[in-house]
Amino acid sequence: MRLTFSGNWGVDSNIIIYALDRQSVFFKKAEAFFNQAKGINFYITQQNLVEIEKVIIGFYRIKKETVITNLERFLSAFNFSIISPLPTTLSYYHKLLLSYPAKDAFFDFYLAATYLDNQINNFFTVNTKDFLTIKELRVVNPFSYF
Amino acid sequence: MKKLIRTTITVPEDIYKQAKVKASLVQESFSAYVTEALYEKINQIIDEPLKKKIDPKQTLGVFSLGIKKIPSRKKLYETHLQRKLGR
Repeated sequence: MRLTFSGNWGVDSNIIIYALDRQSVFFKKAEAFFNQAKGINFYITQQNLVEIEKVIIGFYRIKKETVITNLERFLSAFNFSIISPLPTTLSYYHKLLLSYPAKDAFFDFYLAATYLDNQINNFFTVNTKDFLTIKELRVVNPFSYF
Repeated sequence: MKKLIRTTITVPEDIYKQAKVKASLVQESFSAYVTEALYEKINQIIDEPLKKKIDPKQTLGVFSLGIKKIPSRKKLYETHLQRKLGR
């Protein structure tokens, strides 16, 4: 299958974690996705990087230095741009929180607000249902194409 | 002082907006920010053949963890918050 996506896309932590773990259930799909992702400009938030490190270091006890080095190499190789919350992101987050009825979606909404506030309106994630309520964000599970 | 010129360029709206935001974040004028970006780009092109590019494929699958399911974001943060709040 050939991917037809292009432009600026945010990438969720789960996709990166599956791409780094060769024994994960989704590794083959993650590998195929990144190998075919030509013409896509990848973006990731600082929060996502903390989450990735929390999972790999915190849950799987891999050395911090090893995780940081390999994550940085991965991001550099695929030309990821790292973005961070802006001074205006909090009000964007509050706008989302008040506009949509989802319960307990604080952290997902803050992540979405960070991407949207940085003009990134497309988002790759495995957990599409967590973001589908947010109409401003185009959400796609890239693994569904492989 | 270097001679300055005024020019007009056409850029995609999203790039323009991102550059304006980034310039204000670092408290620079838009002109200074664009000048700096162009300077870096020009020097990057000159330096590029000297840099060893990482093969993207080599950066995939570097860990062998056997992850089946990643905890939801809610769980990741709530466990932390509960511990911090002593609940």
